[in-house]
Amino acid sequence: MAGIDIFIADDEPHIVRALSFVFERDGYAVETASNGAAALLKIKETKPKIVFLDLIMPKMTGDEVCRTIKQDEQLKDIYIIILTCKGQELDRELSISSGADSFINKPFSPKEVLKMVKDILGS
Amino acid sequence: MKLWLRASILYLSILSLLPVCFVSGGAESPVRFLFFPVIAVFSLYFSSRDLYFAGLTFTILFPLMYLFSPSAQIHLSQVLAEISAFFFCTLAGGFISKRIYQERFHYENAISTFHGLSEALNHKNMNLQTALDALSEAHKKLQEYDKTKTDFISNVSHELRTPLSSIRSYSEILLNYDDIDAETQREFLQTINGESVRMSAFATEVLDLIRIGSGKLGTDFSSLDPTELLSESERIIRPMAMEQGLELILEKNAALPDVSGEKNQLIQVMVNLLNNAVKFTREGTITLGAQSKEGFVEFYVSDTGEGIFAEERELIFEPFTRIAEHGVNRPKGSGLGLSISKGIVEFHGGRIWVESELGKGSTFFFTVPVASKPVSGIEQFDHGMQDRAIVHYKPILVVTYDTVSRRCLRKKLEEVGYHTLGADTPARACDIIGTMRPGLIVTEIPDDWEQLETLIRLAREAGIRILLTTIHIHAGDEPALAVHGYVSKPFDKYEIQALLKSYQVKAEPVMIVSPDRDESRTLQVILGAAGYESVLFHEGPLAVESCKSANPGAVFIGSFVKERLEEILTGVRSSPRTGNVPTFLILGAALNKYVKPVTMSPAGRKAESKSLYKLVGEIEKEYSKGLE
Repeated sequence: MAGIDIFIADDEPHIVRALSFVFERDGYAVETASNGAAALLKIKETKPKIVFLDLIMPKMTGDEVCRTIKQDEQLKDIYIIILTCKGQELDRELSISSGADSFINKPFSPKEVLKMVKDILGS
Repeated sequence: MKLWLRASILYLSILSLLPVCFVSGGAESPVRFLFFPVIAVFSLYFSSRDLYFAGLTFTILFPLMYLFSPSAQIHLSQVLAEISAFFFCTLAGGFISKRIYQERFHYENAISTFHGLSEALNHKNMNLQTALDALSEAHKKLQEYDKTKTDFISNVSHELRTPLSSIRSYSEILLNYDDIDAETQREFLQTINGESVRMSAFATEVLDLIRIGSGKLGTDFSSLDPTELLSESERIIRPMAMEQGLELILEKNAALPDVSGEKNQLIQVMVNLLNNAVKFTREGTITLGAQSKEGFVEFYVSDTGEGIFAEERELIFEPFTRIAEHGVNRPKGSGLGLSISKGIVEFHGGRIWVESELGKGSTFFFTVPVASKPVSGIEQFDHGMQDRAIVHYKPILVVTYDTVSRRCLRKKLEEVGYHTLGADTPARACDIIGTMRPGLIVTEIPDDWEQLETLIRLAREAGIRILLTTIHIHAGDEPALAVHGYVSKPFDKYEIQALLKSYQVKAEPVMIVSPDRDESRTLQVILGAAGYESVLFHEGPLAVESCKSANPGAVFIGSFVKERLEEILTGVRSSPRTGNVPTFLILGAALNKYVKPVTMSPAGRKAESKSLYKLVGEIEKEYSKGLE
């Protein structure tokens, strides 16, 4: 399963579906998970370039997954984007302290997210 | 000491000093002038009046001594010098002594003023401390409330954002890509639709919860058949259960009394519990039913799901608490369903709770009061519930032995917008608060003090306030039990002082009648400190007997059982000498801040209707305190 570009982990299936739809249309290889523990396993296996993590997920929260990835020598270069809720200061603090590279506020515009992904993967 | 006695002592002391001076230096020696300051210092210990008196005596006696002394050969000028020296000394001494006395008087005055002030300050300080405690408690409550509110808003915004995210993403995708196939387009539109439905359902729930929080639920109460409620709820949930492959069992129970409530609200509770059961059960059965419990119908919904952790069994009834932390993948809900159910059930005067065993399943219970005349003691008021707006949703529990007075008070309370419950004994009241949570308990002094103390303890544990009254409400009954006031343990000197002062009790011996010797002795000490002498009696009849001759300023009566109390009060009242004596009741240690005694002067029949209004006023005041 090599060559995965983007990984999306969110327990809200509609969000996963919307994001993967947009990325796949632009030709990116996408993999998904609906909980934190499954996400971590699949990320270790597929080594994607970008990971989207929802903060509140069953089994393992987004910031925990992020921290684990950033402590792993082999995975720490993965670009991690945390999906947070706007106005929730705690969410932002959590994403910063967990070592995430960036965060996006919900609700987001898929177009802008796509642009962000292109910028990251292009550079 | 008398003036002449003090003056003589002074006089003799000076006389005894004189020879010392003369012997040491002779009549002409200047050493004798040392004698004058000695007198001056010595005179400090006497009052100015003593000194003037002694000085005068000296002024007269001294020259006479010289003149009539047979060996005297003294010039007149020397005599005059001696006289003036003495006169000057005593005057100076007198002046100094007077000043010292004045200073001392001022000083003592200042000390006593200071003592008074410090005592007053101490008392003020105590009051302030109490006020401060109350204030900081109120502040803490406000802060908690504020936090709850902020959390609530942040939770609501979080819950609204999730469906909004989906709606925004999908609508943007549909707008930006025009080559999406029809099937995907339809899927996205369906999601948008589904999420908007979810959002509006959530908004309704939030509004429901806010309405419950402010006590503004609809009050279209009627008599409802529990069986009908159950079967209607079952009909609503059956398709969902079938879809999940779960078995749904409705346990029939023919002997159920009608309940009093709002049909839609009760169905909402039932459906919500069933909904949760279906959501959290992967396989097995969901059972619903109801059974009759003293004055209530107890509904239940049990499932064969994973069960709920013990520490979560209370928490799940709070808004936005979902059980997801334990790592089990559980379906999402709004997190408001159970709080709404709790609000509705409590509004109906019932209680909701869950019993659960991990790995085996959970059973949710809720009780609803029965509609008509009840079984054993717990009565549901049948008049007027439908046509009157009940403003306050937590009921008031009225505990009196006498049915007429209970009805009378309950009627009055319902007229001013309260939902009420009744019980004839504290024991019955204890049973009631085991099943539901009234906003306030109004109770009279019962036959059994121990029962009352149990009730007080239970109520305190449940955070319910108690109003204690000795008034017989029903007209025509002499309010034999009414007393002028209460003193509660631990005794407070200032409180008792203020109480006695307000009834203008003079310092005549005050009578303490109590079977509890420790109690009476403590009170006696406190009364002593407050400036009242007291006589102790440990038996009622003896006290009544001596009351007729003793003429006490006030009577304190300890925790006797009701008949005894009545006997003593009647005895005291029937004596012409003590008929109007203020009577105070000593309350046990259990009657603390949760109990607010209502006192009424025993004014006889005329004041009865007035006292009822006053009592209702007190009840309203206390009730609103309980809501804070």
